[in-house]
Amino acid sequence: MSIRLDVASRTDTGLVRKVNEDAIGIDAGAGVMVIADGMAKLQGAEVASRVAARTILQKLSGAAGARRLDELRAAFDAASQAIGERVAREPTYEGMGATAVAAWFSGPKLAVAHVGDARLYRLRKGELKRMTVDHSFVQTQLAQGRVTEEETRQSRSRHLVTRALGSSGRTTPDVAEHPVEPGDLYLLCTDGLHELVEETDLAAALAALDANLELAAETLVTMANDRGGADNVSVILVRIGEPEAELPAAVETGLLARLRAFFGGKGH
Amino acid sequence: MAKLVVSRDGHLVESRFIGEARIIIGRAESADLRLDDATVSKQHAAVEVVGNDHILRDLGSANGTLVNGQRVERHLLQHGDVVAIRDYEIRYVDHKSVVSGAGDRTMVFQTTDAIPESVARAALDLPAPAPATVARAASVSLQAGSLRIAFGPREGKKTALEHTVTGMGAAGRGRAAMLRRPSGIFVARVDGPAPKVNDKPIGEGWQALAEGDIVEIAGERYLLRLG
Repeated sequence: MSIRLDVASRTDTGLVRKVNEDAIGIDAGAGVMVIADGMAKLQGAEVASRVAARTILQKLSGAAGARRLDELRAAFDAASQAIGERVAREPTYEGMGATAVAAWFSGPKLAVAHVGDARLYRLRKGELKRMTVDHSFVQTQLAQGRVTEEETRQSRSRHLVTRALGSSGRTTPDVAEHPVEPGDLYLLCTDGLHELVEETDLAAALAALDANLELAAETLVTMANDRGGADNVSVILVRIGEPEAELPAAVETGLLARLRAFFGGKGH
Repeated sequence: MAKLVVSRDGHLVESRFIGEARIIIGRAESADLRLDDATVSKQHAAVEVVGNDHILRDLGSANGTLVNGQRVERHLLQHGDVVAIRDYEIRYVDHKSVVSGAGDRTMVFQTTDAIPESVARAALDLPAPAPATVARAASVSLQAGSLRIAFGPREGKKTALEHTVTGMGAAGRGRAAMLRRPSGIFVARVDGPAPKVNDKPIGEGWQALAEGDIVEIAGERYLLRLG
C-alpha cells in the first residue's frame, strides 16, 4: 500500500536580509522533506544550510528505512560532520551551523527529527498542533514558567538556539514517530514564518487553503513579508492523500519521474 | 544596558539602569525605585529580569499601571515604551536594541539546554552583523473588512474577516479565500469554479478588491466593506 503525498514549497529572502540563508530539500518519491536555516559567526550561513539540507536528503533518500529514527539521527550526524569538513577547508566558515527539521513519510507513519527552532506543524481536522519543541533559550524559559508564549515571540533572546548542526556544542536531534491520517496537512518551516505569524492565523490560513497547496505555500510567505519580512522564510507543505491500491508498473514509472530534489531557489 | 527614566510633570526625577536583579517600584521605603506619592501603592509594580528581557508586572496596585496608554498586568518592555504610574512617567530606554539590532540573528549556545543568564547576556553583547532596521511583528496593520451577503434569502448576513485568511464557499461548488494585507483585501480561487468580482471571473492567485466590490463565491453574492 502506498500513500499519495501532495507537496508544495517556497523559500524567500524576505524584505530585510540580502541573502537567503535557508535551504530546502525534497524527495517526494522517498517521502523525505528537509528545511535548514543557516547561521554564522563570520560567514557561511547559506553554505551551512545547503550542506545540511543536501546531506540529510542524500542520506535519507538512500536509507533502507528499517530503523528510521536511527537513520534520521545518522543523517543529522552526517550533516554536522559535513559542515565541520567545510569549516576545516575554509577557515572563514568557522562557527557556521544550521537549524534543521526533517520529516520522513513512509506508510502509515511519519518520522521527524529536528535541531534548533525549525518546526513541524500538523493540521488535522482544522486543529493545528506543533509537533516539535524548539531547542531555544526562550523555550527553556517558557518551560520554567518565567515567560509567556507571547513573550517568547517578542523576546530579545528569541534567536538563541541551544542546539545546531555543525556547532561545537549539542548537535543531536530530537526524533519521534507519529501515525499519519489521510487528510493530514503537515508544515515544515523556519523561524522566519513562526516568529511573525501567530499560530491562530496560521491555522486559519492552512484550513482555508488546504485544497490548494501551491496557493497556501505562497500565501504563508506573503503573510510573513506583510509582517515585516525580517528574516528568510521557508515552508514545505505535505498533504496525506487517500491510500492507493497497488499501482501498475507503468504508473510507478510516472511516480518515479515525479521524484525531484532541489536546494534553495524558488518553488518548483 | 537598559534603563528606566522617571519624570513627573515633564521634569526628570531620576534615571536607573536595570542590572541583574528585579526592581520593585512603589511608595514603600524599601522599594528599589521609590515614587513618593500617596496614589502610588507601596509595592506598585516590578521589572523582572529574564535573560535579555525585562518584564513589567503590576503587583496588584490600587490605581493600575499603564504602558503606552493601555492598562497592563504584565508586559515585555520594548525600547521607547512609556510606563505611566499615576503622575509619574517612566520611559524604558534600551540603546542596544536600537543601535545594533542585537538579537535579530540566530545564534547558538554551546552549552546544555539550561543556559546561565550571564552567558545569554554575554553572547548578545557580540557585535551584531545585521543592519539596525528591523520591522517588528507588532508594527503590522492589516486592512480590516467584512463581507455581507448582498442578494437572496440570506441577504444581510455578515462575515467579518477576523483572521488574515478566511475560507469561503464549499467543496464541489467552488472554494475561495479572502486575504487581509496591509495594502487591502484580496480574493483567490482555492478550487472549483473561480470566484467572480463584479461579474468577472478572476485569474490565478490573489486579486485586489475595492470597497463596494461584489464578490460571487459558490453562487452567493457578497458586498465588500472595508474598515
